Amino acid sequence: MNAPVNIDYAALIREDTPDGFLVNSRLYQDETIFREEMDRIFHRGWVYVGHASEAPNPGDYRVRLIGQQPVILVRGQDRRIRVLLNRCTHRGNTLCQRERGNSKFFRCAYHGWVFDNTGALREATHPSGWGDRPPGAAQHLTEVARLGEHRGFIFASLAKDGISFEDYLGNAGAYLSRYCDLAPDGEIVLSAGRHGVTVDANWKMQLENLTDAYHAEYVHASALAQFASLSSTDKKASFQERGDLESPLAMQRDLGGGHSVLDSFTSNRAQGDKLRFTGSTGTLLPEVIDAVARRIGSQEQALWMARGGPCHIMVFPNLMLLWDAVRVIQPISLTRTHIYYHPALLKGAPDSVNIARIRAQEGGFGPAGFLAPDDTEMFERSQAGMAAAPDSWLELNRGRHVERVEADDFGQPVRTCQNLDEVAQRGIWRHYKKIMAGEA
Amino acid sequence: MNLRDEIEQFLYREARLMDEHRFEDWEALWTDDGVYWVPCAHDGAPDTDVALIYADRAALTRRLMRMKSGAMYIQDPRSVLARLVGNVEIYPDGDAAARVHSTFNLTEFRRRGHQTWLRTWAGRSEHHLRRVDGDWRMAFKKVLLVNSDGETPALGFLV
Repeated sequence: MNAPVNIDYAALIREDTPDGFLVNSRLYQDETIFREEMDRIFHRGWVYVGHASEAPNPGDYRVRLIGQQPVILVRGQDRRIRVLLNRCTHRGNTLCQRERGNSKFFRCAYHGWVFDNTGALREATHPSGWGDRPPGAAQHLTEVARLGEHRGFIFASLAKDGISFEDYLGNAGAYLSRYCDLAPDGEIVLSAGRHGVTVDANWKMQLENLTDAYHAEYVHASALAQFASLSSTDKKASFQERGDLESPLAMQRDLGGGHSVLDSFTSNRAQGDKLRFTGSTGTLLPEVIDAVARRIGSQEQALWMARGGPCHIMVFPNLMLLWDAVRVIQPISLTRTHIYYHPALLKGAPDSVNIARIRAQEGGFGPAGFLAPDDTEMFERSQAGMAAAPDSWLELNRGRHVERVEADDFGQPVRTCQNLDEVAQRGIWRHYKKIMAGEA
Repeated sequence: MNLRDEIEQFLYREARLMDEHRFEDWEALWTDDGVYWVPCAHDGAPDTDVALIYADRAALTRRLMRMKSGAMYIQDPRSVLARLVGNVEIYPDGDAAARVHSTFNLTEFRRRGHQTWLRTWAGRSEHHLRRVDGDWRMAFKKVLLVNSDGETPALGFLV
């Protein structure tokens, strides 16, 4: 047996050195660290698993992973959503081979055991062979220890003990709610399928990228030129000319708990109805705003919310909301990550709005979009480049001199910098260090 | 040429233009009302299911402009491509239109710095061709990649 390796996370993430905030690039390149991340972050913490609208009817299921552990998200005949381990309680086979479907039962192909879609064992074949220990309730499929739901977003924890779901979601909950509030019925629907992309890079590249506005005008220059041509009022609009990126009103916030946002509520509102950086297709249409107003009983509030738009929202460790889609990070191995992009349809909106949201999602994201492939290319280049001097330091110092705690749109006091800074990334690593060093 | 020769010639030429990243010549193969569709789910519909690409002519032009810009990093440097087109089935619709089914197998070589990859892509294509001023043009092209419903690497070239 090899001696256990003790990774000193506090020595790899150094918050206050003469050179500032430093992260060691070994954190992206060490197999032991990856295994410990799966254990401490994904197998003990809270992880986004899926959305209630992906299993609207009894029997609807989706096969997912929590970290490295296969699970089935399923709505039972009793209409309750459960997350069950995709593992026969007899000899450990996976029960469900399709990615999605509808079934009243899951039958193990190996020895024919049958479970219903609430996870209950219904038949252990050849009952005479069990003696006085017939399989029963102890052989029902294993449910994840804890389930949490916020506005249809379903999270699970494989650990019985630990931080409560409410405390885990923390300040991020208000942002998820706002995203949903922009829909006429106050709900989003993930019924339009998903894009899946495989990336030869560590999963934390995407974790750090979603709320990094600094890269956008460089990595996405070729895409922005084409998006600008879509704007009839502002043909030559670029990020800089629209003022979104450098606006003193555009904020990057560390929400705590590893969650972060690019908060463009205020900068969006300052632009009225113009094309915006963190916009959302269809949410500024009068019929959508009117429907929201009828729901919440205030035209003024509905307009104020719509003009603010949604934000880029990164919910640690694996859920992202950006523009018209919900994204998910799925670590596969140290240097391989799957990223899924689900168009988020607005419940109650006209079909034309939701079709436009699907088209907008395709335009930007997925394997053939205008934006995401250039991001994933950067993740792969970072992974390749870090092989040079693999034990050296990455600096995350932007905005460190102006970092402050201020109230966000919901009155929550959070660490804040300007949009182009790196307070979000520092927040991710602060939280990561706490979890990995066993302090949270 | 007979119809089969004409249409096979069209498909082979289209394949070569895609292999050689000749975006303007490829764009010229389209009718003005052309629709280009690369679904994700094989049973998906454009209005209800996200696709890898669903582009009308205007969206197609934007896509090609980006591909020509030189700032599309997933194609810097560009992939070297060679594809075989086969199993061509032709269903004429009068003298000036045809629905064509075919299969392709595409090999991609990509270099990035010290890294290189040799990858295979495969799928089925459905072309709706129309004769415009004597030449065949694509009014509709649907490409079902065998792995479109799974996780794919970034797709930065034409299929």
